[in-house]
Amino acid sequence: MSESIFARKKKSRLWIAVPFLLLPLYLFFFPRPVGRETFLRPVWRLDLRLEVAEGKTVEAGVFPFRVGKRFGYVTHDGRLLYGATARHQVALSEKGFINYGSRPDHVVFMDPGGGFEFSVQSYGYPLLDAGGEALYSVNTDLGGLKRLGPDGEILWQGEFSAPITSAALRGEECLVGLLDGRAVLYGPAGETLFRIDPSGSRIPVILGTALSVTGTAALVSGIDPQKLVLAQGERFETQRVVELASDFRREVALRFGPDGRFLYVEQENELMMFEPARERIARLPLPGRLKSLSAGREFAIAASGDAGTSRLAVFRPLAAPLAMASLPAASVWSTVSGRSLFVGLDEELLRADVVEQ
Amino acid sequence: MKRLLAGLLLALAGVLGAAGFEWPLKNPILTATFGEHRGDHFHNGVDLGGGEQPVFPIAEGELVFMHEEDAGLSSLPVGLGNFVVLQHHGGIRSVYAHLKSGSMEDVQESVARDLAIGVVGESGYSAGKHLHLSVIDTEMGTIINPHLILPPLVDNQKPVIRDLFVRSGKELVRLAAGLTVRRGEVEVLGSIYDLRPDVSFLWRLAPYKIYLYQDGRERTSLIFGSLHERERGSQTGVPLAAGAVSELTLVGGEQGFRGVFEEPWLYRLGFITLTPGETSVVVFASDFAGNESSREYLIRVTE
Repeated sequence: MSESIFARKKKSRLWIAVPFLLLPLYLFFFPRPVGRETFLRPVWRLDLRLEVAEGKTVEAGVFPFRVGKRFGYVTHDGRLLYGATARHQVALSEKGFINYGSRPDHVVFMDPGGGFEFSVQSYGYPLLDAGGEALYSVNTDLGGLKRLGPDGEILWQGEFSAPITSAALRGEECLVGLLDGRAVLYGPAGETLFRIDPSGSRIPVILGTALSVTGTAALVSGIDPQKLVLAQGERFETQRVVELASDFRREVALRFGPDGRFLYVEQENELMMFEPARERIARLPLPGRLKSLSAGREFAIAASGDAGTSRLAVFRPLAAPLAMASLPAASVWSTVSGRSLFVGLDEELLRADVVEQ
Repeated sequence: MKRLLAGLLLALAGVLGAAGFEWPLKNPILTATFGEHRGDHFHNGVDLGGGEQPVFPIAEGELVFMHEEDAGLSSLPVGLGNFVVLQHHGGIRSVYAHLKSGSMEDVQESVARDLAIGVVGESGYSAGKHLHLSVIDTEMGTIINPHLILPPLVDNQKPVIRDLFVRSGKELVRLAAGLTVRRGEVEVLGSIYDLRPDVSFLWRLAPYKIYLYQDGRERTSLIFGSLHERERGSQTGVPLAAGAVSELTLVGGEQGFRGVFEEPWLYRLGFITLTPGETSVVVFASDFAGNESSREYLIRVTE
């Protein structure tokens, strides 16, 4: 009796071993990936030393770029629609650009193909929102700004008793940060939507500004301590303050992602990624000064470094980098469109797609 | 009230001057003064020439803000070029602009008076190498004329009152001896400038004070001592310019840029009421060193 029981147990153990024996055979005949691998696939590369002006052949899917003094418009498939050198600086938007000298009295708005759109009198330097909907003129002493209409008329203007240190635009809204520690958000007609004078730092100053599509205003404010201030709500009544470890004495790069979920804050030799709704913070080491920062919904790209070299990082928000590279480029520009990354390095522009397999 | 404010400004100058502020260049050559016409706004500081040379802080202080062209990300186009902002005692902040690229590398968080913070350059909105210096009184919330806190510069040249005009409606009439005008309210304008003592050619600077008197009574004054910010809805002074949400106006008279300038070097001196008979119009101008000029006209007023 005991023998027959033993024999049955031996038989059942064999059955357990069968799948382990069959698995290698199955994987051999029907191979499957055991995980998904993400990599960057180069798509095209452009030489930016070319001077190109195609006139008024503006088409959809064109986006602006600026790498050092070189700027222009390129299609997603790599056709350079317009390429030129900034006279002094250039104001860029999706709808067109203003290339201006160091002492302008008029500014000329051109379409992405380099065709003339309009010209307005302006003693200041132009500032365009990304969509090209609003044109501002910033006083050359940073003591004020004007919103200009297409005929050059002043829609509203403000002068301040302290220089402007930072500005963020969202459509027709403009958030202005000042050297004396004040920040004011102006509406389309110059109405004050929000005003804040963050206190609690030994030296009041606004060092960074950002506006999200969801209506949140963000500021980097003060020295000793330096703080990140977030204001949201219909009247910006909900305010949150995060103390930062940094001690910057210059403008600090501050950007929201396209859906407003994540905020990217430049810190000393790193990029702080912050998800305000969940109060999650992650840090990405980026030595040197931040040179470029662009965030898409899925991916972001940032570059930092010194005068001669740049360190580039591609990453998902709050996650470890997907790719990092050190490049011998002084000027870096980047933007993200879906899973396509566009990177400008000194005199070339390239596209790489994020591919998962 | 205006005299009181002017007195307060001078008292402030005395207090701050005694606090040991110095010019930022070894041999400052004044090439532009506070309150000059800058296209659509007041010049909010002084310009100092003399070629490429080290720039020193006006006093020991602490770095608050600096900007280097083409370094890092910037949300703004910056006409000040490479610039440094320092904080000093008494709530004073000083701004040093148009510095030479790469000359600010040694700026530390704490700056001593004898250590250069940069070199005179022409970065940003600049027609040549010069230093733009502006001074902000953070406690008063005003931008002040740097002369108020810095040691006096030698100057023995009087301001020039070249021409005076009256405007009735759209007509602009140059004042001359024996001029006859009709009764009514007219605006007085003056072509006025100060001169640099160190050049023989015409190089105009702005005067410090301009007064308009009618029959011995002060009508208006323009004192380029400090600028403060007035916001829309402010109850004091003349209305803000069209579309202005905030405007820098002269402390004392509350005139904004458009209330002061008709065009460069042509000042809007204020309105006077002319009644039949004779009236005396006197314009008085002085520079910061105290050199004074005046012009007087006797106007005959008819019905």
